[in-house]
Amino acid sequence: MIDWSWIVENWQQIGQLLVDHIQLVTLGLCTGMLLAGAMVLLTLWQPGLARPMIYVCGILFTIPSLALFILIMPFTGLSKTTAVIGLSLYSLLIVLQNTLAGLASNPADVLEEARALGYTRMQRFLGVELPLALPALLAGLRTTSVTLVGLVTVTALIGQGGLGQLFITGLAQSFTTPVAVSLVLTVILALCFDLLFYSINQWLVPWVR
Amino acid sequence: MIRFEAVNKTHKGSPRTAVSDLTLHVREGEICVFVGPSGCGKTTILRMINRLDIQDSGGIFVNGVATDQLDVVTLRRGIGFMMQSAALFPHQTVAENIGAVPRLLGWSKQKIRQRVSELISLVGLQPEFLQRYPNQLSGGQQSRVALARALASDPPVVLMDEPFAALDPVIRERLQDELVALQRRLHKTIILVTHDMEEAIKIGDRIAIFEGEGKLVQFDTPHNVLAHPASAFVRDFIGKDPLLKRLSLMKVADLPVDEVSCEFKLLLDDKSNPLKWVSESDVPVPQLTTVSSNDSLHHALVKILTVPIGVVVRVDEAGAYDGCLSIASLHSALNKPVLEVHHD
Repeated sequence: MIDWSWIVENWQQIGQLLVDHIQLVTLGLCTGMLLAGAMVLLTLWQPGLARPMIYVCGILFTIPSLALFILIMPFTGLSKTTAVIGLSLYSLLIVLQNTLAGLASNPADVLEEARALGYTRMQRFLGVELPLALPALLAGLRTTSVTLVGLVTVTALIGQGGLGQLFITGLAQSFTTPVAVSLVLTVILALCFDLLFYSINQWLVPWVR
Repeated sequence: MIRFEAVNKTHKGSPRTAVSDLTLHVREGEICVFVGPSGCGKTTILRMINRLDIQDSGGIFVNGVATDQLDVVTLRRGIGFMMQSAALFPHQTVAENIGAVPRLLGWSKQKIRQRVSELISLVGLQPEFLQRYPNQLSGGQQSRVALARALASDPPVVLMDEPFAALDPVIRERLQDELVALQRRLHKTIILVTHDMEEAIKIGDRIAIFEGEGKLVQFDTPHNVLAHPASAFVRDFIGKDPLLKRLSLMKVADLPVDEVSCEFKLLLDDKSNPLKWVSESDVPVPQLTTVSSNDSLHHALVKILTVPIGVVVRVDEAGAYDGCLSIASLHSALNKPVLEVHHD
């Protein structure tokens, strides 16, 4: 059922696709995180924006991924840019929602105490609010990275897609080996990202038991 | 030290006044307790001092300076603050929590470390606690750390909002005692909010009693409040047996030295320490019971009621004979014009 010789012959191409895949996930994740950071700063300036932002994120998240890529395509074509924009949007939605929820659930008495001790607004955000929301933020990144690993395969349909290319190859030739290879590698990659953020969390958040 | 002048406040969207026309002066170095039923505005009054709440009208002065003339961050860093829930920063170790304000003030690492280790022993915790996180501490330990954090930059004024209310009675009583002992060494100006009259009587040099809507009804020493409640509200709030509460505030030392006639004679040793009762007849001799000048009159009363002859021997700090006490001595002490126990 699995054609091992095909894997051996094509290992270089498979490796390249894996690298592309990781690249797309990382780009989407980083861009999304930066955008989310900017929007969180916006809520510091206008706290009233936080709640509507959470709702809008929830609604946008229901747009099917394929539809989203097709919507972006008229502007940026069948390019990596299209893929990265779409992926970034998804990661923005998840990270922002998690971070805002984390900030909103910070204990009110602790924030009040910081105010009473003479923290400025920025000192309070960087020194108390953000560290306390860190577990939620990292949980968001963890979910996002795993989601993106799956989503990247969909971008194969617009000519990108890393390991997703192997699905298309397999499908076109009715050949199971590339599909199986892609499937296994995608799952392993998702697990790696999951483990990465789990470890970062353990390292950065020693105060949660 | 802290002066309120004609201060008024109504919370936004609330039909009730939170503070009505408050004028009050807290002296330097005293523990002033704000007491009253919940919702009487006492916490709002406390929070207005460091501008966590802002008055609608009137002036609040710390050390002669109007609080709204100061930069709010500077004002707050110069005033210690402790809340009911210790509200420690969960992501910081005990050492980092205590060092919070010194860090904001830009002290050197060396100086902060030194101050933190001073404070941890001041509040009665072992140095090994410094590296723990708040969720590894008991409620009482968290309160101690919160107190250390409030004292960290050695502020002249410390505000405490029901600091012991969430603790179990045994720990609460211990921390109250320690606060009083600490204050004897530190001479801070402390304002403490509580709804517990017992606590107010125990810790306060003076007590400000508030009725609903932030009306100050009486501001006086615990002694005078108990002896002369200003209104029916205060009387109700003091609760049952104000006399017994007064007795627990007074010490044996506050009574004049008194001789009591009784059928027995007291045998003293060469240092005039009492040894035992002796009798000239063959009546059985009761056991000797003594009270020392540091005991409370409440304690003395219990002893007087316990011994069959109704007389206890009073001894000074060295244990030497210093008169006797009977019910009659307590009776005359309580019915004399009020003794000034706390010297202002």
